[in-house]
Amino acid sequence: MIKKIFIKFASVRLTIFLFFTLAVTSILGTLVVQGLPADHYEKAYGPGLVSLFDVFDITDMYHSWWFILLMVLLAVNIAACSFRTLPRTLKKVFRKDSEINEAAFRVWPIRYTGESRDPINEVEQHVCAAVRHLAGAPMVKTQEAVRYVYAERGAVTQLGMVFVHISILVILAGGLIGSIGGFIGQMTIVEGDTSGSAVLFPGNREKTLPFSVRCDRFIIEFYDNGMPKEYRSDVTIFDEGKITASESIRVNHPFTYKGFKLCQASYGIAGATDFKIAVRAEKNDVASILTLEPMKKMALPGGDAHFAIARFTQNHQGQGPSVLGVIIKPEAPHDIFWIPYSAHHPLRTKRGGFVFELQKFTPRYYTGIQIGKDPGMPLVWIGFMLILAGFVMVLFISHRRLWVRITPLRDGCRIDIAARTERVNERSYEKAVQTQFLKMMDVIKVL
Amino acid sequence: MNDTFIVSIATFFYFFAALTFFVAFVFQKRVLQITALVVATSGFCFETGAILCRWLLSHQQGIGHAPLSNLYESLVFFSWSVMLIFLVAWKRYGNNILGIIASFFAFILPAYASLSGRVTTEIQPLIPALQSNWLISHVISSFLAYACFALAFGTSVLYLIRVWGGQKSAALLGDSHVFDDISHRMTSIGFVLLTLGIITGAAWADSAWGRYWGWDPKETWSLITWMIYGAYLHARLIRGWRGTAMALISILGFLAVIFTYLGVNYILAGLHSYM
Repeated sequence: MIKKIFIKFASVRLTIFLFFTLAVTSILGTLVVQGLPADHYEKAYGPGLVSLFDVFDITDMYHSWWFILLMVLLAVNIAACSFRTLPRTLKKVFRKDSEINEAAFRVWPIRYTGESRDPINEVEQHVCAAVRHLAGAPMVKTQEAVRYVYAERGAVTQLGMVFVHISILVILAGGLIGSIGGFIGQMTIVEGDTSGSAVLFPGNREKTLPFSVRCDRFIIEFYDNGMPKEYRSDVTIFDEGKITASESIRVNHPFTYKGFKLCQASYGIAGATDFKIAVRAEKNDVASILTLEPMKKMALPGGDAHFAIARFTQNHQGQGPSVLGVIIKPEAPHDIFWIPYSAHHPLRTKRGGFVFELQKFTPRYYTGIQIGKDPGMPLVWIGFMLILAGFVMVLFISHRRLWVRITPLRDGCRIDIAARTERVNERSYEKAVQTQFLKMMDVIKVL
Repeated sequence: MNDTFIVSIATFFYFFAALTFFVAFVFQKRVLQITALVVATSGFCFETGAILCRWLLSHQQGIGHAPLSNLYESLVFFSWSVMLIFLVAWKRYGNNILGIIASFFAFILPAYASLSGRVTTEIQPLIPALQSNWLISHVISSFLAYACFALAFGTSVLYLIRVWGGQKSAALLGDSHVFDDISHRMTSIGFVLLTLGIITGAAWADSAWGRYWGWDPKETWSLITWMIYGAYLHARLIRGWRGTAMALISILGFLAVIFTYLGVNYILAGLHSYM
């Protein structure tokens, strides 16, 4: 019974089935955007589909029970297959043909036979040299005046595939450990602020960190054509009340502290200070520049009216950064209006007999730092190295075996050659065998 | 004289190479075959020059980086990779059919870049996410893999034409095993390169986005492709499948390649949207 189940799991048919099933189901998760809030799906797909999504965790399908089950099945399948074929492979790798293999001369794919008029000892010397060149150190045996020369090289290549398959298990194990013992989350820190916690995804739970991070400043640089060149957060780490590290985090240059990896992930404008607004009366050409802070009122030129900034927003109705301005006149209701900002061309806003232009402000950024810990990472890297080592072994080491039988004749001797390689490029080995042996034989026959 | 102009010269060469390979194939003339090879190789030299020229130009503009960073550059590199794989494989399977397929792909990719109108040929600086040492190894291994799969796809299609086409195609195309065999070898090499591409991508993702794997559409589709070709190799090497079933899986695999390469960017949203 157990044996039956084992054989079922150790079938390559199951592997092929799992590959196709995983491939087809994976498509689903690329069509339905993963991990958005529930109401988004409600709007996009309707309640009927959404309830189906809930049953199968489609909105986070790569972590759903059934997808993980498929992966576990794949792992079990690979393990079972490896376990089943390993003894045979090891035998092949470490076995040497110590017994004379007569069958080779009948069934191996590359076979030649020929005759030489040279004395047998001389022929044996030539054969040994050729064999050494083709397949490594020769081993000579004599049986009833017939001499056999054997060599084998590169048997270890068959371990390559074992490595590749074990490495997949190692990578999957690393992934599993990472998803159980690790986490990934986001810290949003306004310049100057300090935070000691992260919001985890998925799930939006809050996690307290064993240290806190201060964002000293966030810097964004642009190329001449306006494309972003660098996002950088200068951070300071406080551990048990003391400053323990100061670092710049850039995209592609994460900072690792006590096993926690901090990456530059996003940014935004939290607020702004130091507003420069040019203002003039509509009939007047000369503008005066007001330097304002939010909620501080200043007198407008030529009268009793005052102006103040009530609020700054990063994006007002798709128009970009704007301030909400207020004109305060005695015995009149406050006049509230938006003044948009453009970095490229001056935007003028007319209101209450004045013309306003928001010329400059100093944004106060927040940085989005992704923080995570993954105890499975070392295993994953080992798996990656192993899979590449396995492929290199398979691709660049060729397993070559070679038997030569020298039978004495009345004048000279007969030479039988049998060769095989497990490699795909049998042809090149065949050619090499040919060129090595042709020159020492007077009569040759390809079998 | 700029690099895009040199690419169009190479594109013309590839077009004529495909044509000459076809004529050589129909008339089975050695002279034509050599001519086709010379034309294809010249195209390859021009394209190599264009890539180097673009690299140099980007340095002159002060934003120097390997020209592997946007759709246009990747199309040209894809075309170059197909030709490279073909020229390397020529020694072993010097056959006109592979020449037709390779020249056709090498021609159509840059031709698409210049004709579609939505592919900008401008040299752009690298955005922060692309400023990584992994860029070169990731892109090169991925596109060499794509190139192998493209050639496998071409031979698989020809296999089906040969098998389903009856008497006429048999007379024209000859032994169907040749196609099956080339397709298999290209897939084996492509699979190893794709594995390398995914691993270098994972390493890059780890430093850029803080995780080596995040089920981003591009990542997921690369895995889908990997699993299709994985199934192909297991079916063939262990279960002994041959012929039509293999050709169909190979075609399916290449559709996945195309979707991984272009579909994800045009249709799905993700972190890889810059390419």
